[in-house]
Amino acid sequence: MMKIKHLMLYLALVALAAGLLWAGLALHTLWPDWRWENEPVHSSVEALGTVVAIFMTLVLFQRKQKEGDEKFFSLSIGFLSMGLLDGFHAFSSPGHGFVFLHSVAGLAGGFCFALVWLPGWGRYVSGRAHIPWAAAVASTLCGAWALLWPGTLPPMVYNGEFTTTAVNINFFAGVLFLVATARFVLDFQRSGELEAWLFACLTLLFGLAGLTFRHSLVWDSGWWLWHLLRLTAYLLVLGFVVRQYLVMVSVLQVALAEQRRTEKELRKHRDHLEELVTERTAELNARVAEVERLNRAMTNLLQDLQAANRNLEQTARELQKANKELADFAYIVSHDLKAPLRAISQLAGWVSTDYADVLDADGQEMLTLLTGRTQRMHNLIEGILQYSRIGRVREKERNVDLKQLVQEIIETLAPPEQVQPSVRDTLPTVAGEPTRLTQVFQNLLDNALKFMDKPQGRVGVGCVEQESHWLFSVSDDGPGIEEKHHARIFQMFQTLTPRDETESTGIGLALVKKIVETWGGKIWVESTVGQGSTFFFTLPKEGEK
Amino acid sequence: MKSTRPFLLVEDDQVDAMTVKRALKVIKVTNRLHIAGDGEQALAYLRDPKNETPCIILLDLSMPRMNGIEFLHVIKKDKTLKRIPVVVLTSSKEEQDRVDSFDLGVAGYMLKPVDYAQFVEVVKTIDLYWTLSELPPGE
Repeated sequence: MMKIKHLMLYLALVALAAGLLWAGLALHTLWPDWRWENEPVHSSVEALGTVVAIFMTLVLFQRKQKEGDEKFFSLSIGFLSMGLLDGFHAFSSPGHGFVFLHSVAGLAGGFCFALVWLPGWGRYVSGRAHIPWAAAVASTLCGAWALLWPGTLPPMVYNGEFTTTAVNINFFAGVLFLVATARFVLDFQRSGELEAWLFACLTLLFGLAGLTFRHSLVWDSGWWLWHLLRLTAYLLVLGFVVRQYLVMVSVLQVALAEQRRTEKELRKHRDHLEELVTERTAELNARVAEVERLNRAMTNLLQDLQAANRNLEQTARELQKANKELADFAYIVSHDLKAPLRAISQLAGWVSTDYADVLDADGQEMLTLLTGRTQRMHNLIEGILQYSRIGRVREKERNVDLKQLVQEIIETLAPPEQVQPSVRDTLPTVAGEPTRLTQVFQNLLDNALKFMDKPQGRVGVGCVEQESHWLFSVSDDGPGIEEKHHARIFQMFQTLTPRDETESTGIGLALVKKIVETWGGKIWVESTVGQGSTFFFTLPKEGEK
Repeated sequence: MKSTRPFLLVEDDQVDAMTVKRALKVIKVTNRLHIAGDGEQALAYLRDPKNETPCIILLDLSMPRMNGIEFLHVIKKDKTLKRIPVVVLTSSKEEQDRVDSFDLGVAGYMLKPVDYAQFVEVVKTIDLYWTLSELPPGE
């Protein structure tokens, strides 16, 4: 849809054409005989026109270079030729040359302008860069020739009237200009650019001038009118084009300034970036150095650890060896010591049996004592062997139900009816070595029963749960133990009663103490002489050992 | 004992040997008892074709020159000897000895009690068992 503005412009174009034609006609009718012969004014006008044309050439050439619009190429050539030829025309005096130059200028211009229909024509012509120069040279030569030898030219004016040749040339030129007008009108229709409209006006004016040439006479009103109109058209178009050019230049300048500013900022950023990079690199280097330092420290640490590990392994091996030697030793010792005991015991028995008739009561008693002593020795050896095994011989830890364990121990010990051990509190299930647990409870209970001095004794097993461990107790109301002996009884082979009174190895409590300490507990006794004793020991809970 | 073949006792301790002899007498075992003082002597006896193959070997473990375990290794490799039932009669309570003995396929493992009366019971039990049980075929 056409905008109102465009419509207005179209109307203006038509009005312009019609108006001018009418004006020309009016002038011709009103003042048919008006003549103003003024060569200097004419020359000035034409010269100005030439200057404008040359200027246009340059501007349009620049535009073509910058915008790559091919039509500017044709236009600039047109303006160039027209300008030069009109220039020569300006400086010639009325005559053939005068008219010839003007006509040829129009023709050249019209021809070039019409070429806007073929914007790409320049590409198909070789030596394209030389065309402007060629046009300039040709125009100059033609102009010079016309000035110097007007007589050689075809007749242009005759008796103050233009010849048919002149009229035809101008007519043809006019047609060409109008052809260009059509093109610019189409361009305007397509692009809506004011520039196209102005070029349409320009070419229209030139076209009409060419067409109506026949009706004008040199120096008459119509003649002056067309000159002025042409000049005005030139100036307007030039003004617009130059303005466009200046706008373009200012836009370019702004862009250039923007670009410079951007460049400056970029440079600033780049510098800043370089700074940052340097900073970061320094940081990184520091970090890397740090990491390397740590790495070295780690390597050293690792080496130390490895050395320590080797030492530990060495120590472990030595310990194992020592342990094995000890085990062998214990085994051999106990075995080799037990064997003769057994023999002694048996021989004594056989003597007692085989030679019963020869032995008297004393003799028999002696042999009995002999056998007893061997048994004692056997127990002592067994006790030492057991004691040596604690901590050295470890068995697998299991969950042991102490309630059941203690029950079994009581059954094994087979206490007399009067002295029934009782379990006061609920005994828990703990994780530990079953044999060791058995040994502890068994030894303590056995002691309690063995040393019971009252016919109706009480033996009790207790348990109290504390935060980090269990507190067990085995209590009796037996003879009790004097305070001064409290430490001694836990020593190896220590008995408080003579061995002949109570057969006791004296190892039991030492054994129990060693076991309790192996699992990180404590054992002690609280006692009142004549009223009884309570042995306490602790068992650390899981994870505390 | 079902068989009339002799017993072989491999034992170095004189008193222990006397004990076995005495015990067998008490339970009225009539089989002949041959005593070898160590593993080597026992092997020599077994390999001698003049000697009757014993129906049972009573073996002590701790002996000089060749102990019980070593002796077991040897005879259990021997095709003819490995069939003879071996009852280990030892004072060793060591777990390892027990494991090794059964690994080598002994027929029984009895601990020598300190008490003579108990010892007699042990021997009686061995004899009773091998009276009830079938013996491997002999020569």
